[in-house]
Amino acid sequence: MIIKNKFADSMGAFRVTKVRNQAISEASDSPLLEDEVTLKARKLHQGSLPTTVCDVEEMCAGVKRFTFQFSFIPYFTPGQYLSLRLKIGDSIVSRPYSICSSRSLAKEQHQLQIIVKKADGGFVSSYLVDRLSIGDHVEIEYGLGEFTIDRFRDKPKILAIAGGVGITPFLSMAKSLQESNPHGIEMTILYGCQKESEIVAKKELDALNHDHVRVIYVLADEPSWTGEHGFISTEIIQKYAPKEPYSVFFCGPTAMKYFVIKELSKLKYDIRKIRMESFGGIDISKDTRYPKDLLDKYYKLTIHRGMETLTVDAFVQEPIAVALERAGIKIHTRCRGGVCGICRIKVISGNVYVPEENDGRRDADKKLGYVHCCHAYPMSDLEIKIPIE
Amino acid sequence: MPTAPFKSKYDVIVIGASLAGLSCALELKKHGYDVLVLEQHNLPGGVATSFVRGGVEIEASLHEMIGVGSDLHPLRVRRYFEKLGAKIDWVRIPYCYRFVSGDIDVRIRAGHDGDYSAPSLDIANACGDPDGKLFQKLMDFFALCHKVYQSANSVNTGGKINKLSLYFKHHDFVTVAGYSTKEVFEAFKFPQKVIDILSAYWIYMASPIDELPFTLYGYMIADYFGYGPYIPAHTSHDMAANLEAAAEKQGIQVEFCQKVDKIVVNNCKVQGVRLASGQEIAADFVVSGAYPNTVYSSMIEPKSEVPPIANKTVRAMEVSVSVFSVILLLDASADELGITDYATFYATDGMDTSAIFARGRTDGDWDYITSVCPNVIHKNASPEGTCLYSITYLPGPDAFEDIDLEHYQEYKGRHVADFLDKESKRLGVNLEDHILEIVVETPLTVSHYTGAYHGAIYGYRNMMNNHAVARTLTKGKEYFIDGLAFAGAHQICGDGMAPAFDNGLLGAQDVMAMDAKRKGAKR
Ligand SMILES: Cc1cc2nc3c(=O)[nH]c(=O)nc-3n(C[C@H](O)[C@H](O)[C@H](O)COP(=O)(O)OP(=O)(O)OC[C@H]3O[C@@H](n4cnc5c(N)ncnc54)[C@H](O)[C@@H]3O)c2cc1C
Ligand code: FES
Repeated sequence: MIIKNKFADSMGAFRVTKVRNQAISEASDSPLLEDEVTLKARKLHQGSLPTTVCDVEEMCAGVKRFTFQFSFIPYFTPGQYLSLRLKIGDSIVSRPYSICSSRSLAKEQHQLQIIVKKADGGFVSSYLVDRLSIGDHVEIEYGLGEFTIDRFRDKPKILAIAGGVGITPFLSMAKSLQESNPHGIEMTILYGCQKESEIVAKKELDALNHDHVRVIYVLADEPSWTGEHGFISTEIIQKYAPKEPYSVFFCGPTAMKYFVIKELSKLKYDIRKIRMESFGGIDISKDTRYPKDLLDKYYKLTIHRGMETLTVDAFVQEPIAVALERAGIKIHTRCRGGVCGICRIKVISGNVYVPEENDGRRDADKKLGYVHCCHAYPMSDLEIKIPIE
Repeated sequence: MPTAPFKSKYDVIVIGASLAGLSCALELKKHGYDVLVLEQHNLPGGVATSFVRGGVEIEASLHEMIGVGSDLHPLRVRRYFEKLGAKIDWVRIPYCYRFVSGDIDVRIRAGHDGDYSAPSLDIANACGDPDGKLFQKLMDFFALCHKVYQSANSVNTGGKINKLSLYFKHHDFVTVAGYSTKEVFEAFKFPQKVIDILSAYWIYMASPIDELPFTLYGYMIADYFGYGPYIPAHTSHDMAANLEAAAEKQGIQVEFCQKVDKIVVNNCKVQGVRLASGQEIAADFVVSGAYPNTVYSSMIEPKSEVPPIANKTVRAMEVSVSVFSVILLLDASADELGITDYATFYATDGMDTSAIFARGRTDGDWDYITSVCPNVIHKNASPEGTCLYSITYLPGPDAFEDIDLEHYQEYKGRHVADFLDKESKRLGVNLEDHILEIVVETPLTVSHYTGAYHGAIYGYRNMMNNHAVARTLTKGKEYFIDGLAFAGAHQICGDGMAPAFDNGLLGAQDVMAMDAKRKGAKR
């Protein structure tokens, strides 16, 4: 085969070497610069950072709003959560909380807010509500999760269904829509609570209640209430849902999630399209697939962390992540629901129970013995490998 | 019992548990080196990864791979995993691509086991071939590509080469080495339509055909058209996780969430690394998955140890493209939506690859889009009644340079709208009505997860003045800091998931070459 002529063809390797050497000799030897794209990516995703509590406000009994001060703009999309990490006693724990503040608060004041409800027997929420005060430092990783309005996927009409403290991501969305709403989104919030006194941020919600945002309170246990009563059922949804096609967002306790799914499916709503964020954890003692006779057992975890080996005891009803946290062993978590995958660890030997719902593992990980340790329960003594922190 | 997480010293520290990093570590371990792999992310693979959305595992980057081949005629990547004892479920893609540009709309079948008649026939038929001459010419063209392919493979795995052995043993390889892809097309006197169809894969080399060395183009073409493109059924994370598991089984220490901040150098010699946490770990050699640009601009400590020639060499090369990808989970099956092809290249404004490439370095319009629907070849890629669909362009490194974070969402949105519009029109379905999940990947996404310089995914651009052959011939001269090697798309074999394994091997060979030199010097 001849491309141009025999001589030119045979000299190709020589030519390309020569032009490369020439390019190098002509290039400047001044120091190379860091690139803009990486610097921007770093600004968008800052990782886990120390922040200061700059405000604490009691919203109603056992519910407080915390404001955290950053030293730069913490970019996030309304609906996302942050993960808060702190040391309580010997334990190093983290928990997810939806950001409830607006975009402008982040942009102008460099602040993010969360609202925490003290949970029954809640380890972290009790600490936060009872103890956390102005001036305290907490480590925060923000801008997490996908519970956000997407202009391409979602309809401009949004039906938001909230239960209890599950109003928080919608508070952020509603406030941010009020500030800027280029895609003309209209949001109807059906907000379910037991009693009027439990409505979180009622004044703010009432103030938002015009133009693009509408809030309907549905109270289950408040006889004197003049608004809607009962649960957020098919009837209520039909009464208030937009007449045009709409997208459903749900945030609230796990039990309510199942109820709402059932009600929406009665309306022939494609339940695959519901965006869901549920706040509650899971209780494997109620999981019929988990062997009952193991429920009160403790097992030994042998933990490889780099070259180190540690051992701790683990209660079967708690995920491996909690056993580590109780022992003061740092483990990175975000969603704590099995989905985000940040807490991936390797199970070297032993049996683990992974609840099927929300098993967010990749196929290869299932095959090769990796688990998300916030969503994996020991069923025997275990040997695991965790990341060094 | 050790109470520190790291040994005080390793033979080699590999930065990055990418396909290249892990295969480099495995190769070095095989030769008796004590290896530590440090990865900043919590997953292996680098860009070879997947994510889970709406309960569905979704490929993050891979469209198709060379180097796999059939069960009966396994190529090097398939053989590599077989040797590791890892079972990867490979799926063959029967058509190389559908190519749409102006009045051209063709599907080109992939050949089997080195037989090029199917693609030659499809291209000839699409362009009109009354006397069968075009078919024969295409067969000759692919035969040339195949020669280049065989030579490059033997050069790559054989290690030592010199100019003489090249000339005698690899005549065709030498013949085309000095030419661009366009020059070879012209030598074959192909009609423009044939050139347009044959050029469709240019985007996977991300250089316009008049700048793209034929050696590289021919290599890729020979594999895709002759043996067929493949994907792992369970996404590229299956490769990454199997390498990770194999590495640990072989006694390589692989640690995640460990960002290497600095490579410590003293007297032109690598001493080890310093982690973002401040911890220092000593090593005789460091293999960097981070781009040379990143290493020389911000990792070498002290900065005064960066040799000027390293800066010159890096500046003489151009960082290649990044990615802009819209990944969708749709609410109906591919059949229901009328999606019939795994991969489609759609040139929306003609096939002048130089013009397309130039526009790709600005913020738009981007007019060469690749769409992929894995469900067409792999029914279980997503649950019944859904399908995955991705729409991608590979913009140049400059396209995202000037955007400010305030307007990042808007900027993204504009391109997403454009992609959805173009593809909806081509497919005749409004994609927006069917979205269950949408994920948008940008250079910032890549940079966030992998730390890649400029969010680059393809290493350095393949150009006539940055030719893999030239880099191979001069590579011994480019060990600028004793003990520092590289393994990633920035290595000589460039972009792609199959070349990643070769790049890992090259990194390991560089370490061993430097080691031999040190030992020789001592003696
Ligand atoms: C995306 C998302 C957003 C959320 N947003 C909000 C929000 O806006 N507002 C809100 O109020 N809640 C929110 N939640 C819920 C919140 O994250 C917590 O689940 C809730 O506050 C309860 O946490 P807790 O620690 O108090 O209770 P639990 O998590 O139930 O506390 C008990 C747990 O702590 C463990 N534990 C007990 N003792 C120890 C110890 N010594 N060391 C370590 N572990 C121990 C227990 O084993 C058990 O697992 C959100 C959840 C998610 C997933
Ligand atoms: S923290 Fe998200 S999966 Fe465990």
